[in-house]
Amino acid sequence: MSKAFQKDTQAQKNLNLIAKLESDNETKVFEGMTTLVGMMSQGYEVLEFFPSVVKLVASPNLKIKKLVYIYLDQHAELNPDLALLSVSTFQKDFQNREQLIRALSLRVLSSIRVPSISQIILLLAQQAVNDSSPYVRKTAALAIPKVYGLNKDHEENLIELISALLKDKHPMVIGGALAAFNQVCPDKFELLDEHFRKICSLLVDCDEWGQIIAIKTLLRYSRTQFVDPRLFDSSEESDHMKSGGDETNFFSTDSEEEKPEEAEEKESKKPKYKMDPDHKLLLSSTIPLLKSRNSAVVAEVCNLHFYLAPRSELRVIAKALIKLTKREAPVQYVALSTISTISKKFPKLFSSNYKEFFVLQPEPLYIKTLKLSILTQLVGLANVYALTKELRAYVKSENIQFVICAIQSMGQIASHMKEVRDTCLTILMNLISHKSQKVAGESIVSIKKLLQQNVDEHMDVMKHLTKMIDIVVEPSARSSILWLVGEYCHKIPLIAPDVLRKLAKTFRNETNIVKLQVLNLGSKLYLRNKKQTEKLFEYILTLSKYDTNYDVRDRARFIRLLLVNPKSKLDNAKLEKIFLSEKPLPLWNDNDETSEFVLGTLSNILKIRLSGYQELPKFPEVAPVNETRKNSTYGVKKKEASKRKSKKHRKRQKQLAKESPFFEDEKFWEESGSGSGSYSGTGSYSGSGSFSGSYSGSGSYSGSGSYSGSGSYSGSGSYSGSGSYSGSGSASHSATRKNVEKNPKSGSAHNSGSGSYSGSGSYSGSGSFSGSYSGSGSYSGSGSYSGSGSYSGPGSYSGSEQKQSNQVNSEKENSKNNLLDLSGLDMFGSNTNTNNNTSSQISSLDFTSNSNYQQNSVKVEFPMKTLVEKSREGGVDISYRISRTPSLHPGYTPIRLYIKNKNRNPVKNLKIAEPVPDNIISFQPISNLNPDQSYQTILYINFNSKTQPISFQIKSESELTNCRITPTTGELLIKPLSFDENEFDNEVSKLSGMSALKQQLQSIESLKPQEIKEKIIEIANVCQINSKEEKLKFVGKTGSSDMVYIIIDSNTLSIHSTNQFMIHLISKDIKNALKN
Amino acid sequence: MIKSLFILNTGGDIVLEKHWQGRTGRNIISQFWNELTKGNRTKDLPPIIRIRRQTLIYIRKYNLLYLVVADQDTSPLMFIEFLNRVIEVFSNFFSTEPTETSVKENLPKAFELLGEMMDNVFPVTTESSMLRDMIGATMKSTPNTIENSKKFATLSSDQVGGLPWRRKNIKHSPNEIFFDVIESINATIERSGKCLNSEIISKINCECKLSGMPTLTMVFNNSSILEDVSFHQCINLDTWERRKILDFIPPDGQFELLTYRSNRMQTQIPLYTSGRFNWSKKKRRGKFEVILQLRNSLVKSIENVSVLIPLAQGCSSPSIKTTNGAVFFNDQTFELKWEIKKMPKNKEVSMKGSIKLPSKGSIPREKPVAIITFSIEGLCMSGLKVTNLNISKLKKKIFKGVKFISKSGNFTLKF
Repeated sequence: MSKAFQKDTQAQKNLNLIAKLESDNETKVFEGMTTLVGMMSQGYEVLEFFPSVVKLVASPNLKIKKLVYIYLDQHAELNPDLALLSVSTFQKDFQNREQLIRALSLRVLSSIRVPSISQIILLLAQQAVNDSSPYVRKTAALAIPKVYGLNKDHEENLIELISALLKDKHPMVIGGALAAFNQVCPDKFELLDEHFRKICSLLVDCDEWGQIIAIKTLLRYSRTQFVDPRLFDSSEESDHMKSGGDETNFFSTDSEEEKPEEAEEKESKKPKYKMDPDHKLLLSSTIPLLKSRNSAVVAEVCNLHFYLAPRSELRVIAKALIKLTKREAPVQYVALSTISTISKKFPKLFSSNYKEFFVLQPEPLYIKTLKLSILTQLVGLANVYALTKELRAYVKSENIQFVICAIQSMGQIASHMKEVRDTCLTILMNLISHKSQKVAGESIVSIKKLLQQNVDEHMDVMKHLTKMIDIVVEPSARSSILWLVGEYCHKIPLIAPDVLRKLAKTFRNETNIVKLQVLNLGSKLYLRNKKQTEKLFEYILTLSKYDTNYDVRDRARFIRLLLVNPKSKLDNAKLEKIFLSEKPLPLWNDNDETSEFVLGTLSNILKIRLSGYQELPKFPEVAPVNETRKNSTYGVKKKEASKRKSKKHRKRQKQLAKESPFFEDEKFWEESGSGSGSYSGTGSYSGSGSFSGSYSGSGSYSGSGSYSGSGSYSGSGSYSGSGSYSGSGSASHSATRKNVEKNPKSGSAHNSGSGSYSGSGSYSGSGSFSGSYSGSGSYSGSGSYSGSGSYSGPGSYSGSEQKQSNQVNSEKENSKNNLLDLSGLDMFGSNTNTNNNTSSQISSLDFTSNSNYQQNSVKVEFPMKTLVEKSREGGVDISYRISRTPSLHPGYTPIRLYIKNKNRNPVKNLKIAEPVPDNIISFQPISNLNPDQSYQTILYINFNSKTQPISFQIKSESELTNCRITPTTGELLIKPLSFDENEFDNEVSKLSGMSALKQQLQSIESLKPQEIKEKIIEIANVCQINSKEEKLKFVGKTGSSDMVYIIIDSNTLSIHSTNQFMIHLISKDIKNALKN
Repeated sequence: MIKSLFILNTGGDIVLEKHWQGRTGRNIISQFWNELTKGNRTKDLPPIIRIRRQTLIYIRKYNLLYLVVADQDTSPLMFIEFLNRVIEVFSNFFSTEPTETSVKENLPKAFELLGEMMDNVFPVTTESSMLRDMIGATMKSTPNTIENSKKFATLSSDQVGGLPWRRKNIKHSPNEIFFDVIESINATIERSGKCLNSEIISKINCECKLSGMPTLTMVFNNSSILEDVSFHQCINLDTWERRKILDFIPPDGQFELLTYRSNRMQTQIPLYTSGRFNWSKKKRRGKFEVILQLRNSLVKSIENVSVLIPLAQGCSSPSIKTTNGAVFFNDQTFELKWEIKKMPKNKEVSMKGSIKLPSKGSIPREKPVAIITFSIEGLCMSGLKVTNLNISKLKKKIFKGVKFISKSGNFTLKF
C-alpha cells in the first residue's frame, strides 16, 4: 500500500473535491457538485466549499446551476457576505425565458435568509406577481412570507402584493396567495371579501395543498362574517350540549323523547333563521372535497363543517371521518382525535357507528386508548350492553396500560348507566386480585367512585372490599379502601374499628398516602365511636409523631390539636362539620381541555398550547353587512345565471321586435322613461365578468331614446371604453355600450348621432351593473334602449322624460373626468332606424371597425382575415380582425371574430376547446347559431409581444377546428390615449444610438402626407401627434410598455424605442407599406 | 410550521436530512430514538410526539422512518400526507421501493426532489409527472449528456398550466391499461360463528400504459356501492356527482384510482368460522378447536386459506388433529399456523388440539384470537362490476382489462 494512499484522509478528499469544483471540465464540476449535495443530505459540514461553489453560480450549465442553488439555499445565511456575490446572477436568471428558471431563481433567492437582500427579493416578487406563468406567480406568493420573516418593515408592500395575487384567477396561485395571507396578515379579512366566491368556486380545481390552506382560511374568515347557524337549531340537543355535564350526554337518547313540546315552543319563539347564501355556498362547495384521497383535505373539510354547518348537516362529516379511521395508523390517530373532540360535543353523531370504534388486538396503544375514550362518550341505552361486553374482553388484555384505560372507561360507563352498574362492579371486583398491582389499584379506585354514588345499594361490595385490605398491596388501592371505610364507618360499625386495628399493626410499614388515610379513618372513627377506638387512635397518633415524613407528622399534630387536645374550644358539632362533612359526588376526569383547542391543529392532538396556535374567531352576534362580497360576481352559479338570462334576453328581444320596431309607439313610450341625465355612482366593480372602472363622459344625452325603466345592464359581453371616440355625422354608433349580442338592449336600440364617448375603464359583464357612470354631455338620437332585468347598484339614475328630438345639454357634472369636450359638437338625432335583424346587431357591435377614428378622421378599414377555411359540411366560417379597441384585459389584444354558419343545420355550443390556453381569454360559448346566421364576438389573446402564431381549437358539438392567429408587428402596439408633442420630442431626444434608427425612404415623394398617415395607421396601432412642424409623428406602446416613436420627415424615417427588436420589425413593415 | 425532514433507518441512523429554515440539531433525533426504543413500545409510540419544545411527526414505510420536525402549530395530517407523497415520489423516481439502499444510491436526486416538493414549509409540487419535468433527465448523467444538458429545462408552459399528473407526449407500444379491483373484508367473528361486524375496504389500482392524452370513462353496475369513496385527483368530481360515472385522464404508470368502503355485502361472509379456546389451569394446557366451512352460495373457489393463532410466550408441544391441511408451530414467535391448500365444498374442515403452557408463570387471562386469511379471485364481495370502459382520443388498438380480487383484511375469530 502506498503512502499517498494512506494519507487519503478526509482532508485529502475535501481537497480533491475542491479541485473538482474548480475544474474547467463541466463533467468534473458536475461530479463534484453531486458529491457535495450527497454530503449535504447526510448532514456533513460542507461550509468550507462555499467559495468554490459561489463561483459556479454563473455556470451556463443548468444542471450544475441547479445543484449550486440547492447548496446556496441551505448555506447562504452562514456566509452572507459571499452569498451576496451570487445575487446578481439570480436577478439575471429571473429574466430567463424559461418559467422554471425564473421560479427557481426567485425561490432560491428568497430562501437565502440574509436580511440585507429582503429589498431585492421584494422587488423580484413584485415583478413576478405579473408574470405570465402561474407557476412563477405562485413562487412569488410563497416568497412573500419569507420576505416578511426577514424584514417586517415591508409589511405594507407585501400586503399589497397579496391582495394583487388574490385577484389571480389561476387555482394554482390562489393556494400560494392564501398561504402568504395566513402568514403575513391572517386577520386582514377585508382582503378576502371580494374573492370569497371566487375561492369557493375554484376550490375543486386547486391542488390539494392549496385546498387545505384555502379551507383553513375560509373557515376563519367565515367565523367573522356569518352568524352561528346552531343558535337557531330548533332541536334541543344543542342546548343540551351547551349545558355541559356528562349526564346530558349519556342520557341524550331518552331525553329527546321527554321534551319535544318544549322544543316546539322554543322554535316558535325563535326568529326564523335564513342562512347567508355565501355561507351556504362555502358549505356546498366544500362537500365534494370529502372525496379527496388526501386525508388532510378531508379532515379540513370536516373541521370546517364542524365549526360552520348547522347540526343537522353534520352526518356527512361523521361518515368521512370514520372512513379516515380505516387508513394507516398515523392518519387514524389524527382522525380519532378529531372524532373524540367532536363526539364530546355531539355524541349522537357517532353513536350509531359505535362498532367502528371497537378495539382490535393488533392496534397500537395510542389508537386503542383513543378508541376507548370515544366509546365511553358514545355510550347510551342502545349500546350499553354491547359496550360492557367489549370492555369485559378488553380488561383481559395482556397490555397493562390498556387494561387500566379500559377500567377507567368501565367506571365511567357504570357511573352513568345504572343498568350495567352491577355487572361492572362484579368485573371490577374480580380485577382486584389481578397479578398487576396497577390494575388492582385502578379497579379499586373505580369501585370507590362507583360506591360513593350509591353506597346503600352496594353494602355487600363494601364488606367485601374491607376484607381485601389484607390482600391488596398497591398503595393507591389501599388508601382508597381506607377512605371508603372511613367515609361509611357508621354503616359498617362492626367492621370499621377492626380495620383500624389491623392497620395500627402494620402502620410502620405503610406508605405515606396510606398513613395519611389511616389518620383520616382514625379521626372519623374517633368522632363516631370514641369508646372503641380512642386508645387505638392515640397509639397511631403517637406513631405518626415520630414518622420520617413531615406530611404525616403535620397531619397527626393537626388532628391531635383539634380532636384530642382538651384545650380545643371546638364542640363536637363543629368538629363533625370539619371531619364528617358530606362529600360531593366524584367527578370522572374527562380531559375536558381537548375541546378548547381548534380541531386539526397539533395543539388539539398534544393537548398543549403550541406557539403559532391560532384561536378560531368567535361568531359575531349579528352578521356584518359586507357589500363587497355580496356584490362580487363570480362563480359557477353566476355563469349559469347569465346563460339563463341570455335566453330570456333573446326572447325579450324578439318580443320587442314584434311590438315596436320603431319605438314611436306612444304606448311604449310612456311605459319607458326616457332618460337624459347622468348616472353617477360610487364604487366600482372588479373581477371577472363585471364592471370595473368608471365610465365617464361628457356630452349631452338627448333624444327620444328611451331607457326602459326595467332595463338592466346585463349581458355577457364586454365593452371597454378606455380610449376616446368621437365622430361626426350619423355613423351608426348604436354600438356604444354594447355588449355582445346578449346585451339586453333591444335589437333596435340605437343611439345614432354624433356624440362622443370617452371613458376609461371597462364595462363588461354578465350580471348586474354597479359602478359609476357619470356623464355630462349630450346624447342625441332616436332610439330606445331597453332591456329586461334589473339594475342594481349604488349608482343613481336620474332621468327626466323627454320628447323626441329634444336636445338637452345636461350640465357638465364631472368635468374632472371629462376627457374630451364635446359640447361644441352638433348633436342631431338621426331618425334612422335599424331593422331588428341580426346583421344590424352585428354592425352595431363593433364601433371600431366602422367608425371614424379620432382626430385625423383617417378612416381605416382593418383587413379581415380568415380563421377557419372554407365551410365544410357542418362547418362555420370564421374570420377575424385584430380589433383596436382598448383591451379589457391588460396585456391581451382583443380579436374580433365574425362567425357565420354556412351549414344547413344549427351549430350548437360553439366555444374554444378546453383546456383554454393561458394566453387566451375565451368568449362566452355560443349556445346556438342558426343556418346563415352570423355572430360576432371578441376573443382576447396575449401575444406576449411576439409575432409568433397562437394556436387554439374552436369546438362545437359536432366538430373541432384548429385555428391559428398570427399578429402583425403593428398590432402588438397599443395606441396611447393622447400624447403631447413636447413630451414626444423630449423622449425622442433621449433615445439615440442603439435605440434609434434612421433610414431613407424611397418613392415616398409620390405620396401625399395624408396617404402616408393612413398607411402607417393601417399597419400599426399608433397615434398620430399633432405637430407644429412639417413632420409626421406617431407614437405607440408595446405590451411590455416600451414606447415606440416614429417620425417621418420628408423622405426620412426615424424610429426610436428602447426595444430594438421592435424598431427593426416596424421599420420593415413601414418600408413595405410605403413602397406600394 | 415544519423545519426539517429526516429519514432514519432501522438502527436509528440518519440516511438523509433536509432543512428548510435553518438547521435542526441531530441530538433531537437521538432523543427521539431513545424514546422510541425505550421499553418495548416501539409500536406504541404515537406518531405525533413532543420532544424538547419541538413536535415530531413520523411515519414508517419499507423499513425507513420519515420524520418531520415542527416548531410551531400546524396541520398534522398535511405533513403526514406530505411524507406519504415523498415516499410515493421516491418509489417513482428510483423505480424501486425507497429502502435504505435505494435512497443512499440516489441521495442527490432525493435531495433535489425534496427541494422541489416543499417551498418554505408549504408543499408545492408533489406530482411525479410534473417533478419529472422539473428535475429533468436522470442525475446519473454520463459526460455526454452533461454537455447537452443546457437544453434540459424543457418544462413547457402547458405542463405547468395543464394536468399536473400527466405529461404530454407520452408514447407506449402496445397501448394497454389494466385495473385491479381489490376488496379486503374486515370482520370480527364470535366463537359461536356470529359475525360481530364486517365491512369491505377496497381500492382500484390501475396500471396505465397509454399514449397521448386519453380520456377514460368507466361505468359501474351499481354506483351506490361507491357511496363512501375517495378519488385520485384525476377523476372529474363533477361528472361523478351528476352522472355517477368515472371520467378521467389517467396518470402514466401505476397508481391508485380510488378507494371505497362499504358495509353492504352482497352475500354472507364467504367463510363460516367458529371455534373455542380454553386454558386449563390444572393441566396447564390450552385446548382449542377451529371450524371452517365454505358458504354454499359462493360460486368461486377460495384459495390460500390459513388460520394463524398467536399464542402466549413459552407455549410448547402442540398436539393437533386436522381434517384437512397442515399445521405448523413456530417456537420462536409462538405462532400456530394452519394452512389449507384447497377448501372442499359442502364440507366443514376443522382443527382440534391442545398446547402446553410453560410450567412456571400464571395462566394467561386473555384468550388468543385466530387471524384468518384467504383470497377469492374473479369476484367482488360487494357485487361491484365494471360494465363499461371507454377510451377516447386514442385510435390505436388498446388492450384493457379489469381483474377482481376479494381477500381477507382484518378477519379475526374471537374465542
